[in-house]
Amino acid sequence: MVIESLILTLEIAIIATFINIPISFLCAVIATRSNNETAKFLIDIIVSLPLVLPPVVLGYFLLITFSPSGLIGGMLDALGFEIVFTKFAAVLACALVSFPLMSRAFIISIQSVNKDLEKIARSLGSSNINTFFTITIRESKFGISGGILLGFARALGEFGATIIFAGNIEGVSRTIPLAIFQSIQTGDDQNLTLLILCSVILGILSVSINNILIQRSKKNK
Amino acid sequence: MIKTRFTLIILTLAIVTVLLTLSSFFSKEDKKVFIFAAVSLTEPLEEIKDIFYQQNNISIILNFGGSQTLAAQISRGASPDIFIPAGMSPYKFIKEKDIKIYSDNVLISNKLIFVSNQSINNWENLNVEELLTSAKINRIAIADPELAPAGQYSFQVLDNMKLLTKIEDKIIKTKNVRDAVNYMRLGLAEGVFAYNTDFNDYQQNFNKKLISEELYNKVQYPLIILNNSKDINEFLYFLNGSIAKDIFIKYGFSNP
Repeated sequence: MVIESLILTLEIAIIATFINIPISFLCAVIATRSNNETAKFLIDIIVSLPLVLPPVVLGYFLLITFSPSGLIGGMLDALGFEIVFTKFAAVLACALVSFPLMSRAFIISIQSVNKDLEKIARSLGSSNINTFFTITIRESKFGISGGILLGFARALGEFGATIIFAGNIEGVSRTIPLAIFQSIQTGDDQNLTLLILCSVILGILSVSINNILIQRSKKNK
Repeated sequence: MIKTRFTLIILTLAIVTVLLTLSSFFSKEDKKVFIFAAVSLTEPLEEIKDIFYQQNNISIILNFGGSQTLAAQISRGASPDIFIPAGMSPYKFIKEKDIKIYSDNVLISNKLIFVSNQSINNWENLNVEELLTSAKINRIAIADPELAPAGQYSFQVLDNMKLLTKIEDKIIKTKNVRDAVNYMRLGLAEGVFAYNTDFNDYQQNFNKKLISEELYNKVQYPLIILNNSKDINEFLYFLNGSIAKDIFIKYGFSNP
């Protein structure tokens, strides 16, 4: 039970993180490099809302949107896809909840890149996309990897949205936090101790790696 | 050099991710009978699921949660084949929401007990009233009747014993019955109202007292069938059979 939910947690958190990376980049670029104030304002809301809303509310939104009677869920149902209470639902819940942490870290680190460097690159004939990959990302790489890690760590601990949208199903959505909930509810003390140990170790690992990245980024400057 | 290695790592991770995502979609294929059940049924249902799979090669997917939460999920579009809540009120809830129900019957029942972590002299011979008013029991954990059926039954008992005003100050309301049990285990309360089946796992020895069944409505677990297929019928036949019943009784449940 412990090993199974550990692997499942890592799997779900990794996929959620990969879904979030391109979206977070897009939001960060708009928030930091766009001249359109409305777009910036909207991005700011999109990036902040999942952070301030309780995860249970996010899970409920996902449930009513993706259930067969919901807007998107109805269309998917017609095509023969079912999302609610599947592993993919768990991934979506984790992605939504960890998205603000990643994108906000991206925004902060891209903001701190010296715009003159980008201007120089462009004046030397580099295209916008090329400049973004060779200058902007390169200059903010430690902040970006920190953001990815932070999002990943948040996805590991996701509980509220998952239990509403993906349920508590062994091998499908019973990640470590849900397995801990299950063990407390059923009084399974032995597994509970192991699961808590797992989540503490994962937490310490993520924080340590994040600190190493921060120190390296300081040295680089 | 460093750049290519970095790209390689990213690419490998991306490929692994895609494969994992695909595998998760394929694993959905062998979903056969999908069940929503109250958390208190975890152990017997998992045991029944394994035996049923060995005998019939039909896999059962179990989703556990608070009965009322599960009912709310069903009313919002979740579509399990079978729903087994603890108590009748979640059943009434989905009935009111016009969810299509194929059939229903009472699967099993449960009994209410009073449990304490205190060593009280002459426990065996004291009655529930004497225990509840005992000076050694200062705090009694009870599930909130608005959130959990267990709480409704417990307050019904206190009401019928005309004890509610007398021990009102001792009562601590909790989110559900398992939380109430944990309050007592952690020493935050000296007594707790719980189900007979809530103490299967604990190593510690607590003092238990069965509460007279005349003091509360029968605690029944309805078996609600929300879908129809050959596999579901096969499982229902098994669930109502003697092997399944024996497993439920082993964990402290009673026949309806």
